[in-house]
Amino acid sequence: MTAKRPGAMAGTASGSMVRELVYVACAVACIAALGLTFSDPFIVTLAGYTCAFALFALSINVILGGVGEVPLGQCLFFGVGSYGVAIGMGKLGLPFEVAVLAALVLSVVWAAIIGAITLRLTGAYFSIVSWGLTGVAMVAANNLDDITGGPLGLFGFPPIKVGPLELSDPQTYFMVTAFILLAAILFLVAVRRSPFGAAMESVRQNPHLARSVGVDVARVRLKAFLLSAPLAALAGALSVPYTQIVTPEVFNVANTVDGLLMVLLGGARLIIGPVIGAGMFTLIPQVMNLDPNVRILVFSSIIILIMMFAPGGLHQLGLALRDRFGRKKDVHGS
Amino acid sequence: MKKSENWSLLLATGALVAATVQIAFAPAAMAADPVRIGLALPLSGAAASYGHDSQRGAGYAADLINQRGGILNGRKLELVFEDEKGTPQGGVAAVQKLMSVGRVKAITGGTNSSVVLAESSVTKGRMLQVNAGAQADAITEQGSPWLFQINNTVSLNSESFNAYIVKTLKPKTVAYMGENSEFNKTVLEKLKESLKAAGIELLSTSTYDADTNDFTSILTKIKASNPDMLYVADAYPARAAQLWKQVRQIGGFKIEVMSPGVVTSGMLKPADGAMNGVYTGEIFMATDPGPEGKEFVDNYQKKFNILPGKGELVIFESINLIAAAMDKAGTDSDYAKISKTIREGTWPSPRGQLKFDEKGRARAPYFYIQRVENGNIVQVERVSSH
Amino acid sequence: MELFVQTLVNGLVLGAGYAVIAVGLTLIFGIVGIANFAHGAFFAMGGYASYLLTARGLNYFVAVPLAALIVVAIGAFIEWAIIRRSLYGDSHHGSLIVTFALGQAGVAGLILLFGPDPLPVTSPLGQSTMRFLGIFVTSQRAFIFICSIVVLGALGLWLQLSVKGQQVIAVAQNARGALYSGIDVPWIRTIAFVLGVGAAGLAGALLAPISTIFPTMGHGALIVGFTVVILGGMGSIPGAMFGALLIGVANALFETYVSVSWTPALGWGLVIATLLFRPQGLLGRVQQHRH
Repeated sequence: MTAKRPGAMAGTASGSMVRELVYVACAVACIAALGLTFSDPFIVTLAGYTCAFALFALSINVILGGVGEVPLGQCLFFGVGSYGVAIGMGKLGLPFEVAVLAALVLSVVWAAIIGAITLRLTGAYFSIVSWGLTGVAMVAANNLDDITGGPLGLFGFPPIKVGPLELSDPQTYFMVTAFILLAAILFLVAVRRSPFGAAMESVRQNPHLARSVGVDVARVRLKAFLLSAPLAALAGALSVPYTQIVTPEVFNVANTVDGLLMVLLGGARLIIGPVIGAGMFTLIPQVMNLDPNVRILVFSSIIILIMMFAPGGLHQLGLALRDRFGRKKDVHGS
Repeated sequence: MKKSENWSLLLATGALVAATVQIAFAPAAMAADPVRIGLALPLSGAAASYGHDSQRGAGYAADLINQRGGILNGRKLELVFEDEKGTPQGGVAAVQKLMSVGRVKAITGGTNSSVVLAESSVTKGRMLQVNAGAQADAITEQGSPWLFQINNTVSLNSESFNAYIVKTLKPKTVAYMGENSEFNKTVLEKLKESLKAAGIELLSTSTYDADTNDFTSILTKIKASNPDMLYVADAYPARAAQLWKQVRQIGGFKIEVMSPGVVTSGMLKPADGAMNGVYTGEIFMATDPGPEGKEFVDNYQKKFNILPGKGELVIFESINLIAAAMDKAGTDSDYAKISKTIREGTWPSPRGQLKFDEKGRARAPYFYIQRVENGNIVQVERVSSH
Repeated sequence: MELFVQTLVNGLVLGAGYAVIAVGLTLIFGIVGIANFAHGAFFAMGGYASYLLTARGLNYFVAVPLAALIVVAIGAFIEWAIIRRSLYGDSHHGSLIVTFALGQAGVAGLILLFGPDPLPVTSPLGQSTMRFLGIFVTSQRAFIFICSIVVLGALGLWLQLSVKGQQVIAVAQNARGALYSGIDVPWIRTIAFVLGVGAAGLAGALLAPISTIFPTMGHGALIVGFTVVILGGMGSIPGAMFGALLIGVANALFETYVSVSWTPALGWGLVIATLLFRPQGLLGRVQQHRH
């Protein structure tokens, strides 16, 4: 008897679909409720920024949990999104939406170029090259100051709006970023269930085997890469209303590392894992007033422990605990 | 199972209601409520030691004010600190937290100009912000009516310092090397202007990346062009110390100069004597403070056993400015009135009487030209700044 | 012309320093199969160890090998506690993440123990320089040059001539085959890892008098290390030396004759070019990618 997995093609399709629609409706309701009840700008805008960064973590997981590589250079696309919006609004006078679209297109173009060159590499080689590209990007951003504003960066934007929605209003900012995040999650769920998603999974688990059954590994990896880039760029664009300034530091590999931590904390196998990780990553420092270096020490140790004992992140731990203590509906447990 | 679940739900709701009721009907703030001032400081990251120095200097300023009886009819100052982590998003989060959770009446702090720019977009039109240390002209160029700056901007520092170079040091040729950073660009621009106006030739400019730690190639090339003077612009202690060591190793230059406002003991110590003979400039000198500064330096030294540096000075002045201006204006939240009071008054400080211009920048009467001798900074001349 | 020769010499001498950093990384990468992103942290530990020893009055030349040994001890502990349990034979992204986290933890630990400010380490060679034929070299750099030749040469010879060394090469070429031949593979891996980080620590101690020590000093070392290892070839010791000298000279020439501000991009450019056109590096062997 096949184990029940969400999205399995056989089985109670209509039942699980109703269940999922309920989840989505709950999520929408939660977002609306949170956005309307909390008015403290600190909490609300931080929540909005967390949503934007969670989107970035999702884009990392398209590659990490999707095809199994560590994309250290993902902040490159995040930076393209941020600078695209900043240059579009600041230098070209475009409205925010148009600048975002331009940035997304630009990120896909860059992803195609970079992907064609670097995706033939795997493992550490791929990660190191993608890291190197962010280094080059940072040097370029520092030097080409006519375009990028140099080390000080670009700032002084007109009030940022999406249509009638003022992103400078904290609650609007939160709701916009949260809904975009939700849309991204739904999109990625759909991708995972599609044939392309299955192909990605087979490439992740064993590229040689995948190739031997006819999966075009190179193409799958390129498509995954092209998918992750605009997500990262969108995240970068959405972070601009929060900081109101874009500096070359946006290309710093430390940003990707933060995103990676979020993915690992929440679990790379779960689509919403990165979102959980982003929440924890933001919440824990606020709740515990740790010396920042102690915080880094603690988080790094947690990551090491996770990689040693539970590489699936908290999600795997959660499942394990549930299996041990919780109800066992189905003997094959999954 | 069901019954206990119901009970916990009921209890939780009850607690929530009780808490809400309590907050809603909290007793009105009493007259002796402290005035909270928020400080967004880099308590982690590369500038962490600067952040901790500022914490100390701010605490010292607040203690002195409270000992004298506080402000606004006996209300004490209370400082709230948040870590801005040296990034713009950290600065935004810190300032927002201070404003909402910290319930502060004014914001100060500030080292990194990009961070302060991000913070200023949050405080604009909402709260008084006094930028203690960040130097980019762009911050005050924004023209925010409730934003003030204590430290000299890069231009102000450069103007005073370059005048000294041109008039007194009088090199015939100059070579520039500096880190590719936010304020060095302005330093270089101002230097080019001053040198051009004086007919001094700028032989070469080398701007290097923040990760550089070997300067031999750059220095070799510069040495080959044989300039009278080497101008170094670098604010990062570890790198600058190393740079000067390597300058010594290739034999040095006739006149050596370092951009004003960056030389600290944290730089001199690892330089291990390599910086002897270098000229620089600063808005303040702890070892030779002048009559107004003497009391500040002596008391600080007595209390903490070290001399105050510029970081402690500017935060000290910021806290004093906020407190004194609020006191004089008679309010802790009418920011238009407080800002007007600041611009119209003169404010005593360890640097003499400060005045603020229409862009909110502090003007002190003097600027100090300094030289490094025997691993310490020594005053060469106290020039009046315009 | 003199400028050119001086620049060349600067580059060679700079490269020698890179070589000591890179040789450890190439050992670990090539033999243990791990991309050691904590390499920079071990480099910093070597610097701090030399600081602690010289601050207690120990002669610098004695402190250097001792500092390396301290790092070896720390490396052995970490290998036993963490690396061994999590990385061998694991998915290829595991090593990256674990070593990255170790590196972060290491730097945070250094900040907590020593503070964020830079600290000086004095070498008896001080600031002195040596001149010959109008070219000058600082004495400390000359010392590093000699050390790097000695260290890399000794490692190379040990690998070629000793039994353990031959076993290390066997494990690098075919771990499973080596296991079936009765070689104690886990022990060899431990040796390789420990030697590798020891080399990083040695590099830190050697470079400390030049750069002063500060917690993030390993960051640049890590980038340089990977650049050299990829250029020279994974697992190749002559490659590490050759790659290091090449990069040192390329950087020096580029900085002097082309542009100072774009120089950091040069190293990455060389890495990208190498991975595209000759992925095994200049002196490396063509390898199947490991999974």
